[in-house]
Amino acid sequence: MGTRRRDAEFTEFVVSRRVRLHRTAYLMCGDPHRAEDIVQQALAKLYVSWPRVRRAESVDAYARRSVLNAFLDDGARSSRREVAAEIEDRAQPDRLSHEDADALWDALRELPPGQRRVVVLRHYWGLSVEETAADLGISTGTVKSQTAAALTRLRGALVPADVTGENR
Amino acid sequence: MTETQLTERIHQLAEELPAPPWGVAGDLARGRARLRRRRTTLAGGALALAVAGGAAWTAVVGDGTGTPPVTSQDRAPAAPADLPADLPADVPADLDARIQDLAVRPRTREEQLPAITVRQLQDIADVLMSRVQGPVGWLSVSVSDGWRASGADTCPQGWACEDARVRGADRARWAEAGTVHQLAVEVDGNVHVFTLDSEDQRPSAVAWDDRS
Repeated sequence: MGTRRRDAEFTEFVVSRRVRLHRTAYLMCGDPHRAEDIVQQALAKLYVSWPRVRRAESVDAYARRSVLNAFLDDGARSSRREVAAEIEDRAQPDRLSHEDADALWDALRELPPGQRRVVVLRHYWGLSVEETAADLGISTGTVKSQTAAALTRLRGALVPADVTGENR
Repeated sequence: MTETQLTERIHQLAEELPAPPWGVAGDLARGRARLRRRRTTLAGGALALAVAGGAAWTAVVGDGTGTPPVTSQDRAPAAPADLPADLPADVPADLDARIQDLAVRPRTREEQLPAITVRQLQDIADVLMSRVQGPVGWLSVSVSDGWRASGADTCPQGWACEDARVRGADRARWAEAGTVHQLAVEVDGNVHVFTLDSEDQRPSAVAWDDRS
């Protein structure tokens, strides 16, 4: 594959996906700088593997896996929490309140990395159980059990907005 | 909370996340640099294998010119100092000369990397001189494959670390402990780590060491 073609295709992918990949990393680690590092590394790896990846599999899946694996490789480090302070004030009704955002971040941070990974893929990327399993190289049963366990934890941690009417 | 509500909330949360400024050019530069390094490594490894294989063949059957095969007695006691480090220890003594003749001596990793410009080096020197007081007994420079690989995203216990500003660099970070100072500078996807010590010997401990 020629360099020009590789660059053009890679550029197109980065333009369309970089923000989403950064948010994925951010949701996983809770630290914008670490998220940026993870995305930079993932994209550099993707560039090197571009001809093979675009032929053999979904580029999205490869990039997602790189981001998630980088996070897990780095899992021993504690995740810092810098998000709530950086989120701008929100006035629009369809946005999360500060309290809701804080509560959701706290709940996500409490999830084990494996469950957080499944939650991000299923509920942020919108992948099916089968797609998530394929992405992560685990069984659909594991995806289901991790999703259920994560939901149970999140339900316990988050006040149901539709019940109290206070959190939305 | 239903799955649908969770999806909705996570999307709302994600939409609010601040994204750092970025440009495709930076991602392209990092990707190209990584590809270059990978090709260099592969080429170096292949060359080393080919040379070692050729040497072994010559040692066994000779080179076809009537010259007797190289035996262990014919070999010099040590290989030349500038041979690639990954060659087998028992390569023929004249292997380096053969490589030179072929004009294919593998270049070191540093030689393959894009050089820092004089301007950038001047800026880096300004930062170093403004922060390090007194004489410098040790200065070394290493190049890492990315910010995380350099370790500059961490600050080991006992070290004082802070972001630094170096003109023309994507980012820079300073670490200090006792007489040892380190400056990590990311330029075009490569991270150059400058290590200084007022003692005239290699520091026994550094904050950042290449982990790639």
